[in-house]
Parts: sequence; C-alpha cells; structure tokens
Amino acid sequence: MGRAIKNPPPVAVASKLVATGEYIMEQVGPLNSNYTNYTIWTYNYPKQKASNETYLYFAAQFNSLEAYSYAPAPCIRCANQTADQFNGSQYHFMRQGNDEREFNLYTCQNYAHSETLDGRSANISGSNFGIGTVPIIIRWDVANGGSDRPGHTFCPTARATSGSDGSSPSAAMDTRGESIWYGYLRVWEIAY
Amino acid sequence: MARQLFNFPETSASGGIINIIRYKDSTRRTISPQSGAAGRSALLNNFTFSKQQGAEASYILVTGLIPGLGMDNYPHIGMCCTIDQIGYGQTATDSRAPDHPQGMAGGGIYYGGVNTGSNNEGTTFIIHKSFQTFNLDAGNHRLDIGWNANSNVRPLTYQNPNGTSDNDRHHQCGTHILIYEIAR
Repeated sequence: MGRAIKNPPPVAVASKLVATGEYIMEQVGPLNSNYTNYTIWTYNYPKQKASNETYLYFAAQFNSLEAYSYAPAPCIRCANQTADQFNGSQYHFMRQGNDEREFNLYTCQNYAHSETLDGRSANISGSNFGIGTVPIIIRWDVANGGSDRPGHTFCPTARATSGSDGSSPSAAMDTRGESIWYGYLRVWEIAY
Repeated sequence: MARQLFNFPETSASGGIINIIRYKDSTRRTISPQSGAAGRSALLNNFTFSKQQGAEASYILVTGLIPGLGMDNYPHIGMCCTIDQIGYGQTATDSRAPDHPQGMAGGGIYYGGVNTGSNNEGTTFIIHKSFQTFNLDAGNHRLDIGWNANSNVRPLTYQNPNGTSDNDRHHQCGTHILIYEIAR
C-alpha cells in the first residue's frame, strides 16, 4: 500500500501543476513618505517552461502597521505585465484613533499568461515570460499620479521601530508580540 | 522507487502535490487571553497529520481561514503557525521571551477586524504559511496556530461563531484548513 500512496500521480493522469515557488516576505519600512508608486517586494521566479506552455497564478497575504484608507491596494503581478495589473487585490484598514499601531490586512491574487486563457487575451509578452527569471512584484500605483501610502510598515517584526511621519510619530510601537511576522508569496506554474 | 516517487508531470521533478490533508472545526468557543507560549495553540491545538515523504523529498504548505467575532487586541501580538512547536520565538535571548525557541513559526497568519468592544463585528483570519525551511521527516506531526506574546492578549473573542450564542442572523461558521505536502 505504501507504494500506491507514494506514487501519485501517474503521467497519464498528471495534474497541470508544473512547479511551485515561494518567497518569504520580511519587514519593509517604516516608510516615512508617501509615494506615487512603490514596489514592496520582488520575487524573481525561475519559470520552468516556455511562454506558450505554462501560465502563472500567484497569491500573497500579509499585514502592515498603519495606512491611509484612501490609498490604492498593493497588487501582485509580473513586473512586465501589460494588462490586469490591478486585479485581485484588496486591503482593509483597521483603525481606532490616529495611531501607527493600527494595522491592515491585505490579500493579493492574480494571473499572468502570454496565451489566451479562459477566453481572456494574453496580459504579458511572450518575450518576458519564457524559461528563466520572471520577476513578480507586490506594488502600489496611485492612479491619479498623487502620492499615497497603503501601509507604514509591512510584515512588521516584533517591536518594529516607529516611523517619523506616521499619524502618531512619537508613539512607540506595540511591544507585545514575540514572533516575527513573516509573510508568504506563492507561485503556481500551471500548464495550459 | 525514487524515480517513481518523483513521477510528476513531464520533466519537472519539483513542485508536485503529493497529498492534501483537510481540517475542519465548526465548534464555537470563547478564546481566553493568553500570555507567552501558552497562546501558541489557542486557535488550533495539536492537529495531528501524517507526512508521507521525508524532509529532503517534500515540505508542507498550510492555507486556510478562521472566522471570528470581536477583536480584543491588535495588532502586534506575535501571531504564529508552527509544526511540532518549532521556532515560535522572536529571539531566544530577549528577556521578554525566555525559553521560546527562536525560528520561522511567526507569521503566515494574518487577521483583521473592528475593535468596537461589542463582539458583534466579524474578524477574519487568513492562513498562508510555508514550512519549506523546516525539516520534517515522514510520519506524524502536529500543527498549532495561535500567538506568542509577552502580555495577556487575544486576537478575537469568539472562534467559529454561530446564531445560537451570537447574533441569530449567523449560521454556524467553521475553520477550514488545508495542509499540502509538496515535492521539493
């Protein structure tokens, strides 16, 4: 029985999952300014297959300290993606009073594909999507060209230091946590 | 046999899903404030699962969602998700975290809610945690989810709320978690 359990799946009924990769997100910030755009993390995913053989689905979840509620959500996408850059991401701003200790919950998901996928046209050039490094980023872009900040300290470590331009810049950060708040970005490379 | 163990699609020998284990908990419970390592199992306590292959052959990915009511404490209370209670401390030497094994168990669980004090507002927990950096042999292991703080805190008041004990508009909610065993 051990053999049967350990030997899935046979090639004849192979799943479409070709490979999966991950990136461990660690603290970025405190950010003491607003930005028109800002790339929080970059994961150079090593794509296994040619642009017309596989597409990518990626997801990430994380927290941050403080945000401005009107700020655009950080979105996940390939760095060279030409469409659908802002799909699949949202965040919620938890606030009570004006304090950097308030925090936020983010979720990001998106697809990149250089072939038609489920009736949707390609959103990245095949020349940027072949075997080798495909940069995947989590980033915000302010649509009207202004500057903004959807988080002050992303994936804060325990007792992260306070920034100098938060709503309550003199406040010390919360000191109760005793673990490091890692975040995880996962990529699924899937055959067409 | 080794070749067959890695008999995943075409030329890729990494990234195949070997097994998926499901966890469901739809029992409403009041979550008590906890300090220190006692909190590390408060949201999921000692769920035993079996890993089919050795540490060099596969690793574990955990995803899931926990529904809650109320958000007593925020935000930074040392949320952690660990297997075999490995590495849930921020540092092994800090005086505020004595004897807590330092390591990668922190993070991978994130939550948000509204702190009104009424316990009528929902709190959402997202779990997305990789154990690729852990060396986990084949056989039984335990999964624990909670927090590790130096004061008496809790991230929610009620886990898996329902319409009997909570607002009667709700159905019974449940915690759902999937444990993926993935080939390295």
